[in-house]
Order: sequence, then structure tokens, then C-alpha cells
Amino acid sequence: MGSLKFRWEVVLYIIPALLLYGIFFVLPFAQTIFFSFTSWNFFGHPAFVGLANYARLFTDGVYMAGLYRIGLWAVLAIVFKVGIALVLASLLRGKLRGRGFFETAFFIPVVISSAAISLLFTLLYDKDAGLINEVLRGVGLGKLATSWLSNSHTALFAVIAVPIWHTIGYFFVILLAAMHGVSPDLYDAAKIDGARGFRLFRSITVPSIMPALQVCIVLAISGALKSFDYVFVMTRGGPGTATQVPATWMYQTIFGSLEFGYGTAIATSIFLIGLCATLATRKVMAPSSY
Amino acid sequence: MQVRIKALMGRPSLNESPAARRVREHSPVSLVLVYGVLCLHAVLTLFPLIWVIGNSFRSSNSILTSISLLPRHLDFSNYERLFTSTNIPLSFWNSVSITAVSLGLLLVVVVPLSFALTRFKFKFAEYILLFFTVAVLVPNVSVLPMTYVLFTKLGLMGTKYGIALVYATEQIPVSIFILTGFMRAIPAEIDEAATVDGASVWALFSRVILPLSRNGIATIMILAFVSIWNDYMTALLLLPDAQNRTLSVALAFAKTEYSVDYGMMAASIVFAVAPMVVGYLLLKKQLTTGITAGAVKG
Repeated sequence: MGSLKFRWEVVLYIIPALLLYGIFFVLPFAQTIFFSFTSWNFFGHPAFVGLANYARLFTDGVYMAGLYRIGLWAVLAIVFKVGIALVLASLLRGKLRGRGFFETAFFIPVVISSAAISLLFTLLYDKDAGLINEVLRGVGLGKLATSWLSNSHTALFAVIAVPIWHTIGYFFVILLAAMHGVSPDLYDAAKIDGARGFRLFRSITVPSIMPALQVCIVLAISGALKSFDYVFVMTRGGPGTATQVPATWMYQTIFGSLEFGYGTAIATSIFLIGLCATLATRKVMAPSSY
Repeated sequence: MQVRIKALMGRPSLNESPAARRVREHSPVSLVLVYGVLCLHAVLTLFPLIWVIGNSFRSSNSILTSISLLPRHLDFSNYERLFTSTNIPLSFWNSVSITAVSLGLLLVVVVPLSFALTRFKFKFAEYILLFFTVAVLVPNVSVLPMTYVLFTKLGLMGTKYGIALVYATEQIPVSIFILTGFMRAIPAEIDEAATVDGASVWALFSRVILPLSRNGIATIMILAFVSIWNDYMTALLLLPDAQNRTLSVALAFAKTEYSVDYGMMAASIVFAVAPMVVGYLLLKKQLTTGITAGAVKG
């Protein structure tokens, strides 16, 4: 909010953004919610069906399995992505030779597109030419070599590992910036009290960077929830439906079977679950962060 | 959210901090451990990239029959074929032009909006800001199917630059949030001084506020550039014609089009990844700051 008196010409500075946002965000978003209460196949007229699409979600085995998978995905993302980033950031918090190199190296994958990363891992996971199987054969574990993305036992974990690898560096930088914001006096005081190493980490670092940790956890959860690119490029939800997640299932429902009504219900559910997860995380972590 | 973003952005350099200068708590044993962990992660991060670069200089045959990180002799045939017989170079230029148009559009709508919302006193300013930023809570995947329908209805499907309207829109919430934060820091006395001297609204905008917001504008442009350039799903849905494909989409198609041509796939990946990595190494500080400024987008 500024201080200058409002003049009518100021409206001209607002209208272009309002038009763009209204037409290409508000309108399709409102339609998404509207169509989720209908049955529509793109042609013809939408028929109002009440909550039937939402009721169907609960009996749709693929959707429910997809929810379980992104739940697992979110948990693994929090444990590994936030966990590893936290360890790396706290190791590089202080003065250390070669710090610049490590910071640079860790962030490199973050600037690469998820499509390129997915293609890279498709090669890495390949049965014949993949690096992982080459290494396994090299150390005499050739028996374990498999086609990681098309083996239904390994596909889900193979997919989930990719975004974790891809964005650890992002969380690392967020947490490192937060750690640099902590007053060194706190550490000095704790050290006078005899605290060292892990004790400093637990009692000073972690509590001081709670807001940033909260951002990372929210991002890890919402990232898992809306995940589409990695799954779609690497497995398309397969083999069978072994790696199907809500976003790819929505794509399949809408563009595969032209069920816009049910598909938009899945879309709305992704939004609502994300909203609840974000609010819940904020609530749980609130006392120390605000 | 405001506090968080400031903490992230008000820190241009990660290399120098008071904490770094004062804290020193590593014993020799723990130092070995620290370097062990850091090197292990560096290897895990860089090795796949080095491996794919190596493979891009080998024929598919040699990739299948032998294991080596560095090719014995550089075989450029994958790159030759990449440039002469694939649509990857075309898709690269599509990405360049579409991203440029989208950034231009974003700039034209978002800078004046932030200006209006931060310099003038009017009743609905806070609500308008809230209205624009609330979309950070809505993931793109939830909106895109209906954007697809809208595109078909508006006749934009099949055009190359129609997608810029959606890309710019997708970036509005985060951009507004960051840019109004920057513009609020410009003291109100400047506005008053300028208007007392008789400056028009346009002069205040173009000659005073715009130049003073350069850093904020650079930040939102970097952030928007990276997310538009790296986007996959929006382009997949809204650019169905093969000749309009962006780099991300073309790469994903390369997976099926060159499915057993490992050397070719590796070359495509390197071609797509190299400009971003080089750009990052050149503009490390700005890119890191810009990308992490987007941490609000949940």
C-alpha cells in the first residue's frame, strides 16, 4: 500500500494483469471446480451429477493407490531430500576449504529441466546400457541388474529417487541461506557452555532455521502431490499402473478416456489435498516459526 | 511469508557471513568425515552428468559393449545426426522464442501492477494483491486441463505463441509477491518529491520507480526464465504440433523416437543441459538467488 492519492489512470496499470490472470487462471480454475460436479466428454453438454465424481474417487483403485504412492513419495522426499540437504548445509555452514566448489556442484541439477533429468535417468536405469547395472556387474552383483523402470517391484522407488536427486540442491541452498542468517553470537554462547558438533546442530541450528525447514517440508509435500513430469516421461504410470500417481491418472482420465468430469474431480482433489497438507504443516510447525 | 523471503533474498553472497568467520569447530577426525560426506555427495551429483557427456561421444554399439567413463576417441557422429536429422535444434529455438515472448508479456503486466499496488493509496490494494497471490496455492496440474479446453475454444490451439499467455499467467503470483516486496522498500518520500515537481504517473513509473526496481525485476525474470524454460506439462498440452515443440517436450519424445539409440539420447541430453549449466556457472549468484526466491510457491 502506497501513499500517493489514487487517480483513475492508475487503473490502466492494473487492468492488463487483471485481464490475463482472469482469463487464463481464474476462469479455467473456476471451470475445473464447476466441471468436477458434472459428467462431460468434451463434445455435447455437461450433465450435473452432484458429488458422484468425488464418491467415485474413493472406489477408484488406481486413484487410491496413487494417493498412497504420493504419500510414500512425500515421506521419502522429506526424509531424504530435507534430511540430506540439512546435513550438507550444516557441514558447509562454517569455514571450510573448497566450500565454493561444493555449493556450486550441489546446485547444478536444480537448473536442469525435469524432462532432461527424466531422460538422463531413463538411460541410467537402462537394463543393458545403464550406469547402475554396469556398476552392479562391475562389482560382481550382476544378478541384481534389472530393468529398473519396467520392473514393477523397483519402478516406483526408481521414479521417486529421481526428483530427490534432482532437487536436494534447492533445499540445500534454502537451508544454507537460513543458517547464515543465524546470529554467530548464539553459537559462541553455546560453545562457551561447552556445546560442540551435534549438540550445536540440535540446539542452535535446527531451532533457528525452523521457518526455512517448514518451507522445505511444504515444498517436499506439494512437489510429491503434483508430480507429473518425472512419472510421465519415465514410465507413463507403468508398468501396468505400478507408478500411476493422481496427476498422471488425471491426464489419462481426461485425454485418454475423455472423462472431463471425473478428471477435473481428480484435479480438484490434488488442489484440496495440497491445501490441507500445507495448512496442516504450518499448523504443526507454527509455534516455533512465527 | 514476507520474512522468509527477505531472509532468502537479502543474502546476495553465500560465501561470506559472520558465522563463517567466527565458527571453527572441526577436529582433524571430524574434518575427514565432513569431507568424506561432501565428496560422496558431489560424486553422486556430478557422476551421472559426466557419464552422459562421455556417452554422447560414443556410438550406441560401444556404449552397449564396453564400460568406460571417458571415451577412447571422441565420436561426434551423435551430434552430427542431432543437428542434421532431428527436430531438437528447432525445439531449442522454439524454447528460446517462446520463453522470450512470455517474459516480455510477464514484464509488461507485472511491473505496472506492482507499481500501482505499492505507490498508491486505495481501498482495494491489499485485496487485489491477495487475489493475485492466492494462486500460489493452486498447482498448475489442477488448472491445465481446463486451460486446454479454453485454448481450443479460443482458437489458440496450434498457434506457437498462444502459450505465452499461459506462461506469463502462471508466473504472475510469485512475481507479484517478490516484486511488491522489492518496491515497498523504495521510500514513499521519493514519490511525493517526484509528484510535487509535477511528474505524471507515467513519469513516476518509467523514470523513477522502474529504474529503482531493477534488482527486483532481474530476480523475477530469472525465476520466470528458469521455470518457463524448464516447463514440461504446459507445453505438452498446449503445443500439440511437432514443429512447435519446446526443448523439454522434444526431449521427452526423443525417449520413444530414439529408444535404443543410446548415443543419440545422450547427445540430446547434453545439448539440452549444457546451456543451462554454463549459464548457471556464469551467473551463479543471480541464479541461485532468483531460483530460491521462488520458494514461496507451494
